[in-house]
Amino acid sequence: MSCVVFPHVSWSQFPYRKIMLDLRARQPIFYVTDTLPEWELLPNIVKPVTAEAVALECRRPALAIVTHPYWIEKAASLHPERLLALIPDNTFEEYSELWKSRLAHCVLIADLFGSESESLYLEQAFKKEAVLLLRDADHLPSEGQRESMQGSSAEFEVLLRQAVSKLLTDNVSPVWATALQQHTLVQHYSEIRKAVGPHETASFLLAVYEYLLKLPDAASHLLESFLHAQQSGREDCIRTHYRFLSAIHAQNDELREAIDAYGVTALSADDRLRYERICEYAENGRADLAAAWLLRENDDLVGALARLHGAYDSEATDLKYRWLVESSRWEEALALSGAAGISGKAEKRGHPGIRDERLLNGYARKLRGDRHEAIRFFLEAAELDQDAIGLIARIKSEDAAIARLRRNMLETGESEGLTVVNGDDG
Amino acid sequence: MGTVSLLTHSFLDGYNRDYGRIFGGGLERYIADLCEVIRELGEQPEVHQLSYFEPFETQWNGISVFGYPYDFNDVPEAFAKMAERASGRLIYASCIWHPIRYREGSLGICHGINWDSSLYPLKVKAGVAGAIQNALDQLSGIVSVDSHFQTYCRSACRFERPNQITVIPNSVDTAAFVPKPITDRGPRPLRVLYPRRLSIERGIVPMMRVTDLLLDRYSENIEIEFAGELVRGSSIGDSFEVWLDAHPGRKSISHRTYDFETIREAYGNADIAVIPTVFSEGTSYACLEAMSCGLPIVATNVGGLNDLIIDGHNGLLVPPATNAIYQAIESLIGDEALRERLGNNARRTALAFDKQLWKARWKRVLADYLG
Amino acid sequence: MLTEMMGSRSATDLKAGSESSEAAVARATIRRVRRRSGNKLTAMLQVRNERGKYLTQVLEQLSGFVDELVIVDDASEDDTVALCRKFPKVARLVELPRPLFGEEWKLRSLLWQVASTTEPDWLLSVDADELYEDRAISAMRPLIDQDQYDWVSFRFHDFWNGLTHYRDDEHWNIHRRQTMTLVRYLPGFPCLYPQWDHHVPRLPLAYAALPGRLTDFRVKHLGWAGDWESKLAKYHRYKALDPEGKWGSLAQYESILDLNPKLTEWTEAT
Repeated sequence: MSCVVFPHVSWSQFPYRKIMLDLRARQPIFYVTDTLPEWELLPNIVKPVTAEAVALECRRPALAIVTHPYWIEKAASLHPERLLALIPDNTFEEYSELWKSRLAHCVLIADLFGSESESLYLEQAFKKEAVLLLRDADHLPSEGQRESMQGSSAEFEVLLRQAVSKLLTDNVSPVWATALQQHTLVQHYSEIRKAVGPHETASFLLAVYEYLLKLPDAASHLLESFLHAQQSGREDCIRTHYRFLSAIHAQNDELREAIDAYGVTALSADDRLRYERICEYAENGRADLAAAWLLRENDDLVGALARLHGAYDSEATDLKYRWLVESSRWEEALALSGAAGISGKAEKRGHPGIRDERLLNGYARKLRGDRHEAIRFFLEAAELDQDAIGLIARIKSEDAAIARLRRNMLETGESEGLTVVNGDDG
Repeated sequence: MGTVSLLTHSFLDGYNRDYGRIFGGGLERYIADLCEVIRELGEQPEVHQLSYFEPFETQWNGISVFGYPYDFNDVPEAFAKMAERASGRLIYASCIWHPIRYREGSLGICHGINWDSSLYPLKVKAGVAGAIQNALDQLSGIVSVDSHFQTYCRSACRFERPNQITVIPNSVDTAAFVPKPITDRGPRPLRVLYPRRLSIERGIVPMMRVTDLLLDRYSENIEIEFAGELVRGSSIGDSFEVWLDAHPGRKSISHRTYDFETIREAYGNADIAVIPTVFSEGTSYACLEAMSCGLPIVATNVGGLNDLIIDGHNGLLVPPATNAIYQAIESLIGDEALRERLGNNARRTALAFDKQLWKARWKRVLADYLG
Repeated sequence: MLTEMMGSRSATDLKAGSESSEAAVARATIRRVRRRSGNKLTAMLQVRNERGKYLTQVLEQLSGFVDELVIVDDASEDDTVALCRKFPKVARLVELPRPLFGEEWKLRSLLWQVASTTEPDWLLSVDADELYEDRAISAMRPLIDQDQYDWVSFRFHDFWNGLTHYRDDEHWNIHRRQTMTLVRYLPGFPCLYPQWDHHVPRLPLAYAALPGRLTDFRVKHLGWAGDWESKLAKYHRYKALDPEGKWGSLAQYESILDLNPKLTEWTEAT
């Protein structure tokens, strides 16, 4: 059984070397690279392989690891048993549109998603249950004193190793590690709060982690973060801070308070419409829809979908379908549309339903790296809607992005004095 | 010797700024052939065309060609400018769907209806009807390459002289495009040929889909050749390249660009020709050439293709839908006798579209027009 | 591109999902946090020993345009309470046994709490020596019957030595700024006051985070309109409460005793 790494840098710069080498049971480790380092730089169990040759060298690896979002489809195309996405800070073309869309795919299909950036980590924590922060808690609010916690810098590595190990050997989902780490983060921010007092960022993050863990003090910490933000002159703190109170209340089944809190923040035209709809749902006895919307408005997709679990009426399924599509959860959307016959409801003329279904299938296949299958579905969609051709054309720019990544790896590798060999083995 | 000026949106390769050659499309070829006819009548042809880039003035084959830059959103204005400068009698050789201000009593050409996509908005179609009416009101006559346009005018417009529209279908040099003798074909997989530019209207999407289905079914026992230009960097161009690159059956798919002369090779190597036009088709040169080469044709019932193919006689005529096209090809794959019969009839049909006949028809029209 | 097609999915028949007791509570009409009509305007005042001053005039004026009055009496030693009781729009009148004057934040907080119990829509914070100009009064209803902003501010003018002029100089220029006194009551919204003993803001700080409307409508503050003795008494009171200038400006306190303050004549707006 083997392991493949799709990295963003050369082996000598790879930040997770230690973890890789500790997975001793998973030999060999194929490292996708165009550079061939001097032999003494590469341990015996690590074998370099080009992107073109990797599918031949290891079919269906036990584990694939991706440290740059651009690699996700390639990694998925090997159909690994387990997939990890571990995304460091400052990767190549970070936060470009393509980077972001690929990152979303990583989150969707990885068994565990990790990020060095806490804000990115938190964003995904609301979309996925198995997430890890790839750093120890060593940063403070900007106004506070910076304090580095060097001594415990291996904590997350230990956790990551254990989570991966349990996943591979016992099939245990890493959500336990997520919760464990989040408890540590609660403790961390509590200590900061003790040191600096109620704070717009520290108290806010504390509230968020308490929310994720369903701990009771989330509301009070959120309110104090809002008050501090407001006193510090943060414009829009109503939306950036106060609004989250509506999610906390919704999570606690305090629907009236949740609606009121959201209503206060509903200042834009779109928000007002949404608020009105939420009120109507509540008034019509659809607390589930009202709560789901409130959670969704706070980007808690996992929570929102959970609220709709078990509701099979057309309103709930339409909403679930829409959110699944908006968040690129194609496979779930397909399963739902098949079960609920959603696509069949579309008007005959123009066949948006059939086109949608073809597109969903195409996206779902693409997510799993089945490029040819995806293209076939997009072609079927293109017969109904010419614009779908663009989805196929776009793949070229995605391939070009991988080529740029590889060149970047070569260039940074060259600056390290690594020997470059011809990478076009394919 | 008088001058006859042809006004058109394209002749020499203005897309790639290569003013030494004519662009490899049907319209451009048509204009070159028409210039030859005009010369044979003892007149001097001139071509005035639109230019994407700078203005130009050059000679091609002894014909003066003038290029005019223009505003994409005001084609009528561009044609008006060309008409001002052009000498002699005018032939408006393209863009009949635009509301052009014609010099009264001139001649126009319609190369086929290009607004027959079922997905175009009604507003667009109504606008075109107005432009065609405008053309009929101002031009003394319109030469149409197919019956499709003639029928359209009769049903959507009003005009007094029934012969204001003359149908002169496109032609093929039946001496140059001849069937390949059967003995020349060695044992090899059956080859299906798509002899067209790779574009949406010419049916590249259903053709790619049909290819997927054919390779699913026949895998290595079939080959599919795409013989046409691809616009690199365009959406369809990139899509085709991506599709081909990712295709597990790519060994059985080829793409090649031919010119007017070498395209004969492609017909010679093929067993079936597919013309899967989705919309916008006059009298397809590719179809005529394939027919002249004695190939069995699978064509869609779009535009002027209906003037060329009679289903079951000289080809198979199907709606522009992937499954219908696929099933037609499948029926030919399994039936060599059918292929031969259709191919032979196709060749005979092509003789009725020989280039000499086309020239003779045009000479009659021009003789009337030039007095 | 798929999501572009999603916009116009229409709601079909609403079938009740399984309903919890919490859902049953929500089933009652949800009072919208912002309403464009039918808003109840409640004035809230803290009063203390107002005999002989302006309270009657103020309450008369308020009675003409607010719907309810909420008053907290800070342990008055005169007949201020009886005076308040004469006005039928007084919905709550709380009499404190011991004064909170030296801990102003507690007084303000209490006033807000009491006002909250009346389920107000809008609260107007008024001191016992403030009168709104006619223009402001006429505009009150349109100002509150809307759903775009949640507070309104006015220009306060410190009348000096009488009812014809207001003071306008380096230490007395509140009329050049905006003072937020009218606010939409939002249930559940934080209503903390800073724990200051003096010069506490009228309204909970957090409300400033909401959208508001600045106006040029004027309010007459008559606290300094009285005679020299009353000013002197106030001066001593401020100096006792805030000897180090923690809550206000020492220079301003001193300027109370200016013999020739710069005054501007007040003209009524038409």
